[in-house]
Amino acid sequence: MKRTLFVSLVLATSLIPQEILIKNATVYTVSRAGTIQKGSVLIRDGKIAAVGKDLKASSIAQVIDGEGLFLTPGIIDAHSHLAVEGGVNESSLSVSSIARIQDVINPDDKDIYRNLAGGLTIANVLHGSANAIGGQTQVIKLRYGAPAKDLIFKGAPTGIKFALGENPKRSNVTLQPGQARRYPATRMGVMDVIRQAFTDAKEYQADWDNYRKGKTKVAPVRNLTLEPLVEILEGKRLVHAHSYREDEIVALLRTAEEFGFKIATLQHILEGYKVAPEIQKHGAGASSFSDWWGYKVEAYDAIPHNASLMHQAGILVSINSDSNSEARHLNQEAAKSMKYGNTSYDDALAMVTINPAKQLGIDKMVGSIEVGKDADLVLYNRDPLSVYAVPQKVLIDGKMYFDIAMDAQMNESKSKEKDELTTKLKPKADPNRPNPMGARPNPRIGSDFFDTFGQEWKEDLFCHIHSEYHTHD
Amino acid sequence: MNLRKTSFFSLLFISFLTLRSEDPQTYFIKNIKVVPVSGPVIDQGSVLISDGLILSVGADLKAPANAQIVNGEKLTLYPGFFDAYNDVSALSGSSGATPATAGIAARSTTTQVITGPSDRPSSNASLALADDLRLDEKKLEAWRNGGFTHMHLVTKNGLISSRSAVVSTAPNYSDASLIKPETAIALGFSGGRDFASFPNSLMGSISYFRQTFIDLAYFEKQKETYLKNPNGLVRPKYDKVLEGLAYAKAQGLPLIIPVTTKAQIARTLDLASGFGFSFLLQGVQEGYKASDLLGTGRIGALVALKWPVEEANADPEDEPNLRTLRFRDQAPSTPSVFEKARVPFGFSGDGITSTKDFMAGIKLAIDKGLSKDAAVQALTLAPAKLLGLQSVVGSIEKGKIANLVITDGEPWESKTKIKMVFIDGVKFDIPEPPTPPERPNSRPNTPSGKE
Repeated sequence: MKRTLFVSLVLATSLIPQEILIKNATVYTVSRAGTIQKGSVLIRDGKIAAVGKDLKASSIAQVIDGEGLFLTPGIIDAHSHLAVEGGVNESSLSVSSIARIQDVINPDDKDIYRNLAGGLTIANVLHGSANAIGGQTQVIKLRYGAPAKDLIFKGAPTGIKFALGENPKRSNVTLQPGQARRYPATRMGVMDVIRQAFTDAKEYQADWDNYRKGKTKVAPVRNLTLEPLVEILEGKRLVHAHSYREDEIVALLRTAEEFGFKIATLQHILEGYKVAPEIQKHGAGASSFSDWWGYKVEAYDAIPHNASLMHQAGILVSINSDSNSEARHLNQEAAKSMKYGNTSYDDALAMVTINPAKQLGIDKMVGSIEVGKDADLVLYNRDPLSVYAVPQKVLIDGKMYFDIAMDAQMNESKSKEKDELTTKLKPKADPNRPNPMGARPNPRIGSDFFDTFGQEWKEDLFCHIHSEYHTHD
Repeated sequence: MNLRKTSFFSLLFISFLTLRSEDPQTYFIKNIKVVPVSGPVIDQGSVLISDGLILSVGADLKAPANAQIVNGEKLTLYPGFFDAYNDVSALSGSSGATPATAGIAARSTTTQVITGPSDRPSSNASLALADDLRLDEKKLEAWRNGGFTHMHLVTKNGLISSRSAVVSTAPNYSDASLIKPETAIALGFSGGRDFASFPNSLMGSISYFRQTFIDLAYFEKQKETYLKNPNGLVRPKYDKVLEGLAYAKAQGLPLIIPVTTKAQIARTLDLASGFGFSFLLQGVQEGYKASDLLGTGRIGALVALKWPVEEANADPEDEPNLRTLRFRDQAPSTPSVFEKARVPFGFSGDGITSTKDFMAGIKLAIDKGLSKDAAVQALTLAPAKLLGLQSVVGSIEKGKIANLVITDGEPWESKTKIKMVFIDGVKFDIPEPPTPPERPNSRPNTPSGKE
């Protein structure tokens, strides 16, 4: 009886609409509604219920006064390696489409929270760039504290990583004696690997078609490497292709057209400005860095005007992080395109909100402040494209995931807890082993996940060399 | 397989004959506190054992004329302790590497390029550890003297291990010591570590398992059809790993999957439910957070007793973060959380090389709220149930193997002495250990073997 009562109470509570009203803020809607001064946004049950001026909320609504603050849609990173456990590269095979990021989402990764604090609400988590055809990607919402399956953005189309150039051809890998060199070793080879893989995928697709049509009696065995490639051929899976040079970009577009599929986004694409018309004609999006270059031979011809020039050529452009730390200030990265190439304010903000949403096929649900969309929002203390802008509150699905005041409180109590635990757990010195200089850090104990895959595997080592060393806790 | 099994049973038979000629094999243990584990404690009980088996247990038994009497006054009789999971190196000699035990080593020396899952990298399901086991007599003695009468030995050789075995700790190891020559198959998530070997990431390993178990189901079906009437059919390609897995599945062997964090537990439950095997989790030290996932006895766990601690004399610069501190603090509460949530669990000695450390691990779990009854269960009967041995070991019941231990106190108390051990009904008096010089300030739960 008691339990029934409790259950019905819980149900009743969840049926009451949860309302939040953010009022008096400068609202950047990143939609046709433009910027609303002294604007309000009403959130009901995790969705945006109304946007405008002088909105009234019901008596149950939680009201957030946005006086002097700036509201934007949640920031979206189209290229992230966040929250991945046990390595972002299955680097062994030239076609590693069997590997899936969704299998290894680590909801405990503290970087999720750190990126939230920078206004990031959605990340396209990519496999690394060691293979011509890499692993399956996963779009996540940064619902820190939820289990892995609840970080997955359910409505988002599936994706896959491709990579061109130096990384898949292994120019940066020093082989150990006796170690075999993996094919391919040239850009031609990379394209050959892709062509061969899709030829195999077509054959596999035909095998299944024949079976389904009754032409063959025995079902083929499922091939988890080829299945995602068939989905690409059928237009069901988005291709995110790591690329640098103009020649390889055009070669990939041609190869894709040969097999009748589209490249959803070209990632990094530092020479995209040289072949913008070709990219625009194919219909691929471009997701680039703001101003990093020269960190390897294929990155020498990059210019900071790249994003603006591609945007002017009619390409859908986003700015990505490819990094745990840069994702915390993607707003500033977007702002750089205003300085280099005179992109407008609205277009610059779009490069980290609605544009990546479009590239990931999730723009019907997120990416702007419009009625019916998910209430993924960032409240900044300063203008969002200013270097002084610091997120004060970050909401996902109308739920507060970061609040700068609560964060300060939490840090205080955590620091206290840490001190207490440190004292409690401090081992007493062992007089039989008086050699502190020889001591090594304690490897994390338990399963071989921790033991085998240390921090060095966490970032895409192939992808870039601009990542800072980052302590994983 | 059948041949091997036959030879196992005949060897078992022969060895009984030999043991019998050496030993009276009939013991009457009396005036002892009996902890049968399967039933209530008998304060002044007796147990009659003969021919390696328990013949009777009770409060008012009479000693038969041929029995040798063991007076157990002020002592306690437990079922023999059972380490439910340990690496074969816990008992094998340093030079005991064999094909069944050294899968990874054999592979890492090859320069062959792995082309994908169909190469079945680091997969040893076609091998049985029991076929090729050489154990170190000193190590056997050490575990036996600590009250452990049988142990589950696993080779952590790669992604899919060879079939594990439960052995007794009797001296002069031979095939007769095998209690369950084929017990389980352990999965591991660490594949190759160089860039050329598939898989070399966690997600690669997971994908490898998913593909291999899909292949297995296909293979079984294909083979079944073929064997019914091969005429006119293309023969299924021989695949020794799939053959080994199919055999293990038919024998009902569980998979044992290593996990630590709650996220890993959740992931593994999703993944392994599609494999067509029953499975157990091993390690499970963040289980204190995961009773919602494991509760009500659906999945069993072998909880590793090597609790996370800071190394003595650790680098002072290497300051652990709050999450690590919380893990160190709370991991030993996992058994008590499991007890309350009714998650069936046994103790795994994974990484532990001495019985003292094993018992210190249990002691810490008891300090964190585990009941003493549940502690004894997890040391004896619970893992026997999880590993399919409940009808032969784990409790003091009529008909079970006479693997017993006599102590002068609770096994996890550091002052407690193991007085006597019976293995297959053979009595071993435990010599009084030389009292080591008192180590001031040494922590009881720091495993001493590995440095």
